[in-house]
Amino acid sequence: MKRLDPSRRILLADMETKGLADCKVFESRGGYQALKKALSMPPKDIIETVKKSGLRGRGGAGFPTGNKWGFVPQNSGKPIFLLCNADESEPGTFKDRLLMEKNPHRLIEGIAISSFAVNSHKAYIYIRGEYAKAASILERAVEQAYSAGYLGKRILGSSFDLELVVHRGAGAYICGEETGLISSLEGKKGQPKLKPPFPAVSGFLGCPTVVNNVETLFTVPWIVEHGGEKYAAYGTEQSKGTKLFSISGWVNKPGVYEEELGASLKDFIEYYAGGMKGGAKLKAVIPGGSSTPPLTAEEVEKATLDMESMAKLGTFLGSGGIIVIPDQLCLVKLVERIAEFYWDESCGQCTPCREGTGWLYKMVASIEHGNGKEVTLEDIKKTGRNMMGVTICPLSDAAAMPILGFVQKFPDEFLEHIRAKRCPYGETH
Amino acid sequence: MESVKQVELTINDRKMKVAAGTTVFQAADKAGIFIPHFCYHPDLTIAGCCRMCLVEIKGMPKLAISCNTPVSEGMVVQTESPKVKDAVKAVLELQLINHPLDCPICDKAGECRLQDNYARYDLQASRMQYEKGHKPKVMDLGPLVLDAERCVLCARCVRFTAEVTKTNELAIYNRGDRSTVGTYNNQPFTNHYTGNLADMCPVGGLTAKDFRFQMRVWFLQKVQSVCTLCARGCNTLVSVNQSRMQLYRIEPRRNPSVNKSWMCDTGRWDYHYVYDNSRIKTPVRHEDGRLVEKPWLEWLTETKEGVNRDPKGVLIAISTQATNEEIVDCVQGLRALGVENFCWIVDEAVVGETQPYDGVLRHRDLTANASGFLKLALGLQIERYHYADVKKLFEQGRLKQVLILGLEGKVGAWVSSFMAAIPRDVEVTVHATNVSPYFESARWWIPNVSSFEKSGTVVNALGRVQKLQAVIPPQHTARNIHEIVLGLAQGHDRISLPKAHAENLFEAHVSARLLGRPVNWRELDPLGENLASEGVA
Amino acid sequence: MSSTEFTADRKERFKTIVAKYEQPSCALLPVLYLAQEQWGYLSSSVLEYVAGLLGLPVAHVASTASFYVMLKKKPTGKYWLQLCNNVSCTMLGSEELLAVCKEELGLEPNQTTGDGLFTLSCVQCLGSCGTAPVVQINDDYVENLNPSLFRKLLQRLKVGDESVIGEMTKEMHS
Repeated sequence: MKRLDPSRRILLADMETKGLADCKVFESRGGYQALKKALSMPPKDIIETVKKSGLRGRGGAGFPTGNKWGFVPQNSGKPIFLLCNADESEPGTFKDRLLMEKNPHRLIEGIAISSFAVNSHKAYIYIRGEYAKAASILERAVEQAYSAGYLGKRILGSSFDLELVVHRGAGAYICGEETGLISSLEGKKGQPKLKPPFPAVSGFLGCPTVVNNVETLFTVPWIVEHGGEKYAAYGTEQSKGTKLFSISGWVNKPGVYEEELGASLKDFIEYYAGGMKGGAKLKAVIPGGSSTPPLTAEEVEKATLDMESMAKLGTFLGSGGIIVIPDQLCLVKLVERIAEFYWDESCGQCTPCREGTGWLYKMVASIEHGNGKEVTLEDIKKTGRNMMGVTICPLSDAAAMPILGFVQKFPDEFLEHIRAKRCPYGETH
Repeated sequence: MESVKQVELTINDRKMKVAAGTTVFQAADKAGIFIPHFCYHPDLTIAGCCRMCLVEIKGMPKLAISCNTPVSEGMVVQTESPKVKDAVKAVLELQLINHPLDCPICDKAGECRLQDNYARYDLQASRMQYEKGHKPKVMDLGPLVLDAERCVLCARCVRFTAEVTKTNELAIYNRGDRSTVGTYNNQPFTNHYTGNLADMCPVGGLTAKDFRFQMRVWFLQKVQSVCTLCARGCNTLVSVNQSRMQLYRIEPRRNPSVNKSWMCDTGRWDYHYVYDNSRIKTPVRHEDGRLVEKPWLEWLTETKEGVNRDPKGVLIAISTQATNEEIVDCVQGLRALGVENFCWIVDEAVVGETQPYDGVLRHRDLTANASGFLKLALGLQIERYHYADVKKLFEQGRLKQVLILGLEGKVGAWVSSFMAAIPRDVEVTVHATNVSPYFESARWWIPNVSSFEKSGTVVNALGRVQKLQAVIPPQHTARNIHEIVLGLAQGHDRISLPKAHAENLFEAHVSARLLGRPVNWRELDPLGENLASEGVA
Repeated sequence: MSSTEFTADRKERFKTIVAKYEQPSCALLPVLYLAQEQWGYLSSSVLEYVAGLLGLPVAHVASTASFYVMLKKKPTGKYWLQLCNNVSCTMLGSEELLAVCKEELGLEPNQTTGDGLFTLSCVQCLGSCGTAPVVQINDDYVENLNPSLFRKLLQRLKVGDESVIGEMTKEMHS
């Protein structure tokens, strides 16, 4: 069984250290050494190192990070911005929160290195508004980093300047989409922007912009310190390295755990999360946040935590938000919650998403509350399919995919509701 | 000149070449290939949100919105493939699930893009079994009425107030299917271009009070013309009900080099003077403080006598609202009777300004044809047409009679200052559409036609020669300048102008003076043509 | 005279905030937070004031505020109970917490108690699924809740004992 030895951890290695959020403590654990090293390297070499590492975006889409950096034009005559996406809001995902609350300096270090690599002198951390605690921890850490010379003018005596601002969102899931985040940072509604142009060329205020997830940037110092090859030695062919998984739901020890990509999902649930609560039988697992289609108990047996395996099973590794659902709970009710979420969070720009999310929610709710018909299931499938691949951003697909997945993989549970004209599990409200 | 790089692509098996940077939508549009859309508008930025203009591009896994996809060399596009049609049908179905479907009482019915596209692509019964979302209805926003339930959230109106008028009254509030367009706290609009919002609204979301519930659009016929209420000369479509021969609506006609797709609210809604009670219905003579209606013949006889007696004592003041054809006819016809003095009536303080004072379209010169007058004055050798020249003539006491010809609509101080300069013993005739207090001192008022009742050409402040089309018959007994000149020449009122008199005049006597070559009326570009540069004529 | 104006110290903070950004328009969210901190919610006069300060159209400011759920368009009670009812919280009992609210405070979602003490909202995933169910009270997360703990929490808040929030705000484990 492939299982990450604690001594080989990349992300959570120091997590148990008391007071790690303090700059001095962080320094005493070797913090900011990677930044020192990076500043002595040509920026191009840092990008090459990250390319070699095979690191892919940890926000959910999995785009190769080094390639993203490589797209930034260096001769546009405009300032370049680096935006850290800390708008963690995919249901089932809470790993970035942990990183920011426990080890904010490592994130700042990652941001400084990445900014240096792409030649950015202004970076923002866009943190979801609800993470007030993490935001204040970050703000304090940023202040310390300025005082210690890791941010500001002539960082560590080099010619590199960087300003870093912590910016709080205000409650909108869509701001986690990179162009939605940019719109929001511009002081607008967080509505995603059309591509082309791509943010790398024309993003924040029309300037070249790199948007990277917290965990992605958090990984960068390790890669710079140990080299891309070493990182690439972790994981699988397509999915290099380690990753954080947030596991929640019906398990004994929910939480955030680091595992090497390619590890067994079943083992992950058993080993890290302590298995099913109360010895319950597993019914389904949402593997990568609420937008990823579910796995059946049977599929969980063979799934491994990497992009290839998930793709084979018709789903995604996504943000690594694993939600474990036991046999005794009503799936339709949970799907209703998922449908409600996307209805609530659709930004409303594109017709299919704006209208489709509401319609899907109404249909799923009607089944859960005993008003569904067999044709409703067909309508859900048709509407879900119609919403996919036709909008500016992936929220429409994200709404349709899990609902379609549940309907396809667990049709009997929906049909039971329809035939009984009520929720067989009983309604609590 | 450096030529723009051309790109070859194929749309629906038709090969075409377009400039690099063109979008697939524009390329298709140029080739006359219809692509359904709500949010795309040629004179606004791209929103890409309605998702109606999806096309299939060879080599791309997903359908792409044509409005935001630039063409590339060798691109192969399908706009009518089954995949595209299914997707458009699906988007339409979603667009309609919360739409009120109140077409029978919606004023946009008949020119509604949602209705048209439904008929073209969808035509299925609704699968939606639930209560529709509810939003504000019949909101009074000043000149417009908003029905947010009908709105398809294309954001054209929001972009217009942000990008064109820069007044930013509109925004879309809330999010998801609760998204609602509106002004801040339902305040009325503050810009002077609101009618455009009703035009560009693809559905019955924003309707203009002036037009709503006046006439079903399928009972209207649209005629191409130009607005004459300022020197911009916005291109228009004038809607007329043929059985009532009545004007119902004026809309802008797209002309990228004059008015894009817009016109101001004055040009759009001030046409009511045509039917106003202040309209001069017959010639009227002031007799001892009384207004006495008279037949045309009486004015003609009296005026003709005066002209015959002392043609050099007559001043013809032509409003720059008159068409080029009227000006040429007037000058040539009356010179034949020995008249020598011609001048213009215009606001000399603002004439010749080439830029709109509000940064959008409105010019301070409220006459349509000052540029035409100036160009013709050169060729016709009218030299002393300025107010200063006229003032001198008055001071010399040589003038006995003034005919002010061609006034239209509500006239301003620019006319009163001219009137005030006329000595008391000079007999004045004012040829105008509507009564004005400035005309008190005139001996005669004679009824003019409005610009909806005559054809001809006018030249706007940008030097563009544009066509005016008669859309309704002359109201009451109104006569245009051609008829007046002919009447004075003949000395009786049994005049009959040849059919298409103005059109013939344009071809024979006007086009060459303006454009440097004779141009057939029908061949004059509907978007107008630039004046020939000096020296060519 | 309009009394809608930042306090002197907030005027200073306003300047500091705006200075961090490339353009004043980018500072809209932090400035709205600042305004919400002073006035409790964003009334029309506050939105107009902020629009004026940042040189933005008021329709833009108001529509932007309407987009974000944490920007309050209406006053809330002293304690804004934001109950997550997403998947993991639902699985682990958020509906029971809702019932506790109803019993203890007589509140349905989107209602405020008559004494102005509590407002209840159901919110989307708060990123606390590993410590579900969670209720956010103003800015603080109270995690690993169960009906009896939540009942205790509400009862103590009702009598003005705010220390209970601190007691129940536990460190997250990894």
